[in-house]
Amino acid sequence: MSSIIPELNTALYTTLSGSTALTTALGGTSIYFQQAPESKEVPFVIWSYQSSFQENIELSPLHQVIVYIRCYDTNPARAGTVDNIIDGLIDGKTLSLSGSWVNYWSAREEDIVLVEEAPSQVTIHSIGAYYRINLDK
Amino acid sequence: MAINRTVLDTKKLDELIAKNPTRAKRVIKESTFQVEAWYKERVPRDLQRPPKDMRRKVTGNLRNSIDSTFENSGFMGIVSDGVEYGIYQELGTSRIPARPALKPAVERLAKLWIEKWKELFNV
Repeated sequence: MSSIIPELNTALYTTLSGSTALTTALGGTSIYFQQAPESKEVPFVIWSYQSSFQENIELSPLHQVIVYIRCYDTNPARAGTVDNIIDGLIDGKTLSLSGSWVNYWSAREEDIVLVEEAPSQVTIHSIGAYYRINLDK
Repeated sequence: MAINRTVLDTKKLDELIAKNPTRAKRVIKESTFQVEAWYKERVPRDLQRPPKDMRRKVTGNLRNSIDSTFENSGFMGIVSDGVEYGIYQELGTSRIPARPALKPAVERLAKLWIEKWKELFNV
């Protein structure tokens, strides 16, 4: 059983970076897996996997992944706008995967809003959500 | 197949719980402690997910602060940590990658949840 993550990473990046609304709001393709480059200033979008497991209940493989996609920004309104755009791209939609896995259902599950104080004393807002990505072969 | 939302109908489960609240509380108690154990098992730091700054001392404060409590006469189990930075380990920050431990534990339990109830009530 090979990992689903590389295929999903490609599909997520392609979907997000392919949205003109999103790249316009971000001022470019500042979309990263796990972590933004150290030198990168906000706003940017990060996705990471909070859970990934195979459901061994049938002979045909089923896989569920919880991906956490959020925008970091000093401007909470803009972070919210970006979150809305991402929601429109993922919730209720299907990702196009290149391999044998098929994403038959994706759904937004839980909104997550956080705030942090950067060492420079700048307040950075994070607005995003968990999305459940359901896959089969 | 297009599915936009799932609706969880707990009517049958509520009926079963009402029939035998002691059994129901047992499932909730066992499940809560199971999530606590899995959370502790996965919590940073392990060698697979090293901290960004390896010079930082491993204190074990986060792991040691994880605890379970019960409310609503034992019908609600709560697993939580007691450190301010717990949520930032779980969800990351703009500069620190997420190192999820609680969510995988809950999802792992969710896989077994229905079976646990079925087994207990012989349905």
